[in-house]
Amino acid sequence: MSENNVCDYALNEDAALMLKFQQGDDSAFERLLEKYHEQIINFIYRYIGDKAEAEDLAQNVFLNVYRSAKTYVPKSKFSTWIYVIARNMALNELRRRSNHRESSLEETVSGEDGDLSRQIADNSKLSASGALEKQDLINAVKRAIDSLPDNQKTAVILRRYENFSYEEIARIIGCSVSAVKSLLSRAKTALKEKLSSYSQEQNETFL
Amino acid sequence: MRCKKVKHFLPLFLDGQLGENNSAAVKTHMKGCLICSRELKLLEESWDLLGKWDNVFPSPNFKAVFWQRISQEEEPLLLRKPIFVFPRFRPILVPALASFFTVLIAGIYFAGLFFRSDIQRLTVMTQGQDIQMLKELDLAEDFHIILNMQALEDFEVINSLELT
Repeated sequence: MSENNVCDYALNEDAALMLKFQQGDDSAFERLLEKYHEQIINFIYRYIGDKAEAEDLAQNVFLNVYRSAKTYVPKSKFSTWIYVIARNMALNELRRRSNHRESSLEETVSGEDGDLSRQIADNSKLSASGALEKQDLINAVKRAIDSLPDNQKTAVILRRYENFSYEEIARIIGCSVSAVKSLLSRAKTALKEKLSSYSQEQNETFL
Repeated sequence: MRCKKVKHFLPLFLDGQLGENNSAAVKTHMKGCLICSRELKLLEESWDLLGKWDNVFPSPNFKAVFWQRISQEEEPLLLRKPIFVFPRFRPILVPALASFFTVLIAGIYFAGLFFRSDIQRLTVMTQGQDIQMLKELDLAEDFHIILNMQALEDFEVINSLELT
């Protein structure tokens, strides 16, 4: 089965479920919820970095889909549609919290002890403990992704964690495929700069 | 191909998104350039490092919470008050409106009664004036004939028919 056929199948399957739901079949929506809830939670989680809030926002995403089901027309893939909603919700939340976030970041920098998750990556502070080392690495990854501009962040999350094609990413962001290529190129270069201190290659070179 | 251009192409090359010709040129360049090879390795590793950030597992009650929220939203719809004939009026206005319409209907009814009795009185008055007028014209003795003028005319018609 070709990739296009798989896409068509996915389009038809999800769209068919939505159409069934439009006719009053709640079990069809239950299946969509089952299929997408984990992906959507994780997608939002990569944006805002907090699981509980990601779940709250994911609830709102599905409520939004549930409410607008009557007006749903299967013009594009259901997955594209739901990811667009999820992205908008995540970005709105980030914007809403931006002021608070800036102030808390300032507090962290000015505090004597500081918050490990907010400190700039520094190899000299790495703990000997493997668990702490991993946590530190995860925090560095979070910070690196968080520092990207919105569109680059979306492209990275969809490509790296959701395995979306360039075409699908373009549809979700609402830009051309070549723009997605440019976004991902710049994002990868930026991530390399931010994570180079954790790279095996870099460490081996300096040893 | 120069290093600067190769470095520009590396992210796409890593993702298999570079065209065939450019891809071949990058591969050729990499064979003889340690700097660009190292650059590619760093890009690859940093991209792999993103995978250290594991997925989270949804709370076991995520779906239950969702359906609960849906039922909470739908409950007010079920309990919604019946639609009024005049939906724009507040319920508190209904008794006032009912009283108003009752008074209005009663007013129309009594006004109708009043005007009808007035008309009857006028008719009687008119008949009284006619009799008075006839009396004054010395036709009082024939008044009963005049009152039955129609019957007299009918009688004359019958008489004339018999004569013919």
